[in-house]
Amino acid sequence: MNSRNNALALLSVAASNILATHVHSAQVAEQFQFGVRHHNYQEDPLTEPLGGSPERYDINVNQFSLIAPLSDTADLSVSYQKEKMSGASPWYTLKFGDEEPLQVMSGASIEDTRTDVSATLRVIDDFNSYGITAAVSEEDDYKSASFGFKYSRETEKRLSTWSIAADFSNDDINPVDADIYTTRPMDTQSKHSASTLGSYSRILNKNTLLQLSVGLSKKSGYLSDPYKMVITQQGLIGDARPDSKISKTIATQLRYFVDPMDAALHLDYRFYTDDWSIDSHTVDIAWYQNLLFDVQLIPSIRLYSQSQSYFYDVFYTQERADNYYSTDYRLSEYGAVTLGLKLIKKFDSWSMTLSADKYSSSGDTFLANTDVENPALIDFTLVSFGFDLQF
Amino acid sequence: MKKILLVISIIMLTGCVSTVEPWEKGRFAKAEMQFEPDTMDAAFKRHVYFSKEASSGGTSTSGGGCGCN
Repeated sequence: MNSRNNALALLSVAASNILATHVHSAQVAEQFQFGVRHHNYQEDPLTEPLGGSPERYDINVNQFSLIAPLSDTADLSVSYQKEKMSGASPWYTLKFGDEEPLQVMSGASIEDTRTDVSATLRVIDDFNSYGITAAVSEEDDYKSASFGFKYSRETEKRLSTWSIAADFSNDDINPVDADIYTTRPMDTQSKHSASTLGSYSRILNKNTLLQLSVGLSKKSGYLSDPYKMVITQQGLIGDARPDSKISKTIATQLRYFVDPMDAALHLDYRFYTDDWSIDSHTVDIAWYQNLLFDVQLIPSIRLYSQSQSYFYDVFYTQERADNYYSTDYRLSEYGAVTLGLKLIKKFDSWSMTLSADKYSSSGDTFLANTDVENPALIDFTLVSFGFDLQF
Repeated sequence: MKKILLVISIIMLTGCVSTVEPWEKGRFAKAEMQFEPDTMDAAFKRHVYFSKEASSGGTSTSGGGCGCN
């Protein structure tokens, strides 16, 4: 009896190791995989705005994903996302003497929907993987179309993988109410983007996996925000930014399995720099704890900080020679912390997931340390719920 | 940027690398050891941070934009 059980155990181990041999190599889906998520994104109200509504964005998102096996060497992924948003958005800042700057908001009447569809076809040929992706996104005032490809190659012992990816997009912006607000462009504005990413991943030992990625991106065209305004010596003008931006990234992702805890540690770091003089650091740490009854609990923390762009100011008291003006908090110096908790319960052929994330930002969080904090910095809560099914 | 790249390269190419045989790769089959265990969640969060922060990219190409403000 014992020898029979031992033989079965050995066969089981051998089978799992054969499967594991191909881990982290790209694999074609063998079953249909369907996923659905509902997200609620809620920004905290702004304290003491000078005008407009303090209520900021409340966004409900439904997200669907389907992966379909096409053959032994190909599969197709399709994703669909629909967002419904309402709330107010920061318009411009005011400052009286030595007092703190104040934020003027839009009315709470902004309502919009965004629909995003993408499809990816993958073909895998032993050590090589090829993928092409096409995506479109549409809002009342914004349309985007993008196309990308990815190639990956594993080394002979399947310990390392090299990947290169590139994509191109064209976006058209058609601001609403341009006949009412003279700071908004009347004609359709366009921007173009091209980005490339090179990655190398390597199994370091039987518990550790590491990836290094280097990225380069260029955006050109209309990069301003048509809905934001700035008070200058010339009066109230539209947000005005350079018409090109080049950014570079370097990122690492570490995965370490902790045997005694039956848990996995995720440690990610990204450095970002661009020619608008914004540098940022992002650290993501997550702990995937396996529990009884196929339950997984995942606490996480994300730390982020960025420097300000060279033309940003919280309020302009002097004219700029280059005529670039923006008081957008996203171009200011600040830092943010996201605390997250996620629960996954697995059943035979499906699983359910529930998560909550709280994002808090300020002028002196993480590596940021600014003298004057932008009054429009956001805090938000994100709650998500969903299912995944295989058939 | 160059200094960060150098430090990461040194870490990758030194001590912690050892030969891993095929039968020792079982841990990498676990969902929690993937770079993106939940691709839908990861894609949505990338979109949120892309909309609300100046930085984007790092582990994927940028794709199309949005009018999020």
